[in-house]
Amino acid sequence: MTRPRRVVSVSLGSSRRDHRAVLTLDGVEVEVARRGVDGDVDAAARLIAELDGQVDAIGLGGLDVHLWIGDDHYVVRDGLRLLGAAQATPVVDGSLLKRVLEPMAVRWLAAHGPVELAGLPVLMVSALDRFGMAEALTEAGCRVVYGDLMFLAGIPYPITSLPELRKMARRLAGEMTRLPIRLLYPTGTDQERPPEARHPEAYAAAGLVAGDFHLIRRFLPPRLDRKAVLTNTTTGEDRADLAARGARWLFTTTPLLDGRSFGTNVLEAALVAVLGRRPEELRPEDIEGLLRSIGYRPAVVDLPAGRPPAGRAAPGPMPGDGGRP
Amino acid sequence: MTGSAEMAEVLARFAEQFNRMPEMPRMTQGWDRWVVVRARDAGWTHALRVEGGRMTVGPGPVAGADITLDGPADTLASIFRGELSPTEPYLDGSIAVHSTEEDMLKLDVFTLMVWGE
Repeated sequence: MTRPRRVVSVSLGSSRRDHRAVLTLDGVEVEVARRGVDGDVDAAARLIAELDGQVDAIGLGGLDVHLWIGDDHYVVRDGLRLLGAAQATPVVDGSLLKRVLEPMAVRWLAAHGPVELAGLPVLMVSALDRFGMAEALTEAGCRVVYGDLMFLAGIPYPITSLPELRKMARRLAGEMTRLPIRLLYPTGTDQERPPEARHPEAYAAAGLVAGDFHLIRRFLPPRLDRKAVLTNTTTGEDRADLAARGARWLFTTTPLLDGRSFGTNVLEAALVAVLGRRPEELRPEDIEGLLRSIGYRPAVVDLPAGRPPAGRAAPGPMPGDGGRP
Repeated sequence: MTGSAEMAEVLARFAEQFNRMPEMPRMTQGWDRWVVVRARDAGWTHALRVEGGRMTVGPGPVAGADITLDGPADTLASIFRGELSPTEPYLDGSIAVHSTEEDMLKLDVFTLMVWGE
């Protein structure tokens, strides 16, 4: 019998969300634990050093280390420091898995999801951290607004095309990734502050709100009536909040386990632990193959009902947009 | 060391570039600010005014400036010439930025936008 693997996700997020679970990948049992450090980058580095050699893989949550914008690669300085805090145990940020998983999730939703993606107005609160999703949404025929400047930097400029997003990234990403992560992204207790609506008009114009959940939540408007949300990690509390705001559908790109969707860093760490390879030896094809072997599909939650739909359901009409969800 | 007249020219070129960019009026919507640039080693102070999406340059100091950049004259000149990103001297402490973090971040973005890839 294959020995179980141990994986710890060290997250810059709140320790209030810590949890443990067991998942099975490729027939191997993986015990996963999340440990939040409440936004303290130094504490994260110390914890990673403590775990080094004690577990099979470490996931890094709450920030992306590697950003891929097409073929351009950027490295977040704070994250690089954390990757280097362990010498023996592989540390991964989930970005490789995200590059494979999220386009797969969008393609699945385009073919089988309850919402027609072609022509759908989409707000991606940030796309630089999930360019694969941005490309897949465009390929699916969505009309996407990229909110990186609006929501990361507070600059009221919606980016409306992938070429423009690439142009902005070439100008900005190299330098922005050198800044302390807390300047750009909610970490620690900032993740628990009540949402403060920013650019509610952009949320209102979208049928689908996509991107990192902490960023979506940080700037949520009071109402999300009949909208769909495509994101990564949510808790039961998050789902209840979205439902209370009137959102119709929740699509999470990582599967629900014990009622919770795990971050890509957790799953990537689990994959590394199960495959027994160094992260740099993993190729997108390896990940895609494994995801197909486990029958990967995104989770679809009918928020008012609080469960997945029985079949492909037609969304109800949205006021003023001719029936688009 | 970069003198006051030379810095005034550097800032004028920066403002010219800024005003040429079609994105700036929208990007700076609602962001009317005074930015003071001060070199203690050279003894000069200049001011940039962003208003209605356009940037103008004038003499400093300005009472109640929203953002003040303090640093060596040559470093400040390099930043506004586009030879040096503002991030590195800020992180290593060779320049100080007195402002809200949000304003600092925006100015950083606008500077990078002006000087491009």
